[in-house]
Amino acid sequence: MPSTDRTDALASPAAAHGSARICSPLPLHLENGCLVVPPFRLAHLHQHYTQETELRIQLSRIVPDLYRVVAVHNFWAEDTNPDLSQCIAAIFLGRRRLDGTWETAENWPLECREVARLAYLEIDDGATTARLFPHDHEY
Amino acid sequence: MITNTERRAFPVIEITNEMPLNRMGGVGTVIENLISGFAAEGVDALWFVIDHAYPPAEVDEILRRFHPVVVGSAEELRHFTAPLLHVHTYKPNPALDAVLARHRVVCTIHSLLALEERTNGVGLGGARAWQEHLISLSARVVVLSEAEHRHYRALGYRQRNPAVKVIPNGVACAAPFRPVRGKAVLGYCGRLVPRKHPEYVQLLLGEAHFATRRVLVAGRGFSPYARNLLHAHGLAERVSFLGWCAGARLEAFFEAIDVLAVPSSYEPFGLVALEAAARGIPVVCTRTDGLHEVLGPHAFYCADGTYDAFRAAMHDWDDASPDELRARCVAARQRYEAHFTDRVMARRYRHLFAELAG
Repeated sequence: MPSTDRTDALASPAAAHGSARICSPLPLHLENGCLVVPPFRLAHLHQHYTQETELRIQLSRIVPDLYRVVAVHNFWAEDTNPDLSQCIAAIFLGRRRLDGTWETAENWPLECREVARLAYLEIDDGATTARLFPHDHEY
Repeated sequence: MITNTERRAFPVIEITNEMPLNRMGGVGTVIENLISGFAAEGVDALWFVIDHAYPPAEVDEILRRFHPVVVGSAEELRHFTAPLLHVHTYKPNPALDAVLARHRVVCTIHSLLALEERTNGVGLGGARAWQEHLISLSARVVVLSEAEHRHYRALGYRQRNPAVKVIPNGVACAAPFRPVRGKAVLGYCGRLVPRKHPEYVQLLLGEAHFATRRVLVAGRGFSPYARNLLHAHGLAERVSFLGWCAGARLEAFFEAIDVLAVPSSYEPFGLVALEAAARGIPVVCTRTDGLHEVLGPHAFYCADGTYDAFRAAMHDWDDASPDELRARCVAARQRYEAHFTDRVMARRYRHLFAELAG
């Protein structure tokens, strides 16, 4: 696995010490119509969840609504890393349902495990504007 | 069509939607071992990848790693000739159906989808119908165990096609045989689906007798049920989910565990139990279907499919002396070497192909 220096810096001090499900300060940002998720490494229980490359999620391809940005353990990628304490991470955008509940990563067809809630993402009608809110923002 | 061969004629064309890369399930592992087994047995097959879900980079990787390979559509099968087509895919495909109708076909049923539906509580309508159609049009149907053959008959499939051959899976094992292990780490490997009961081994951690143990879970398909189980029983600290493991990670999993639990209610063969037996890992399992054929008397069997029976079998394993464990593991390894290597599997297919081609 590549060095984790860069990704450790993106996680919170608490996450780097393996105790938190929180990633703060917010490492995400919006840029040129994309949600940009820098490479990250999160600790949860006895394992680390790593996304090695920057993710750029094009907002125009997402239905305007309110989403929860969640880091998940990616159960869809074949993992060949022999270090069993390391796992492959991914980003899941869970949409808020009409009843106020949120889509969860564990449900079919995704079937991935939530590791940390990173932020909320609000995309306006027409996807012309979008806003990010911290994970502890109240909805 | 993308290919890495200029040849157009082969003794057999293997048609699959899974290769041994980012595999969706056990079929990719079987293909991996067919490739190595056929190479050892001199079966010069073409691997035709169809109806796949590989992105372009993975297609490139498949073409780099394996040879000869074609990634293409059913219509593009016309560019190649073979006396026999061997089909592994259950994805409904009318174009493939039209091609198969003009050829002699062997299909391998890696699991009976009608039973997958029943034991997992899911509907697989289109795929099941395609599998049943495939059975009807094949010159020979291959199933993986005698137990699977019994299920085949019970489902009434002999009326569709009575020409059935049992060819068990086989695996290569480059890992060292290590029959002396501890008692601390309990392992589960497989899709996290109801029929495989991945919850049993986790629930065991709540028993006083197993209070100091840990569980490693290798496999895809995390679910709300899995999440809620961890929370409800306070297991999150002691159960590590490793995701979909392959290659060195799967080997690290096998190296880390002291016992493998396979409490399935339906298991057409029991590939992971075989992989464990080849490495000297004790197996605790149900006496279900292919599992008993793979492991013979050398596993710790549950009396039935309940959690209580699984717990009792885990106690049997835990109470076994090091000498007893070693004896079982050595015997299981010998059974593997005699009947279930990749080469033995390939030889059985070679004989079947020769019989059908002749």
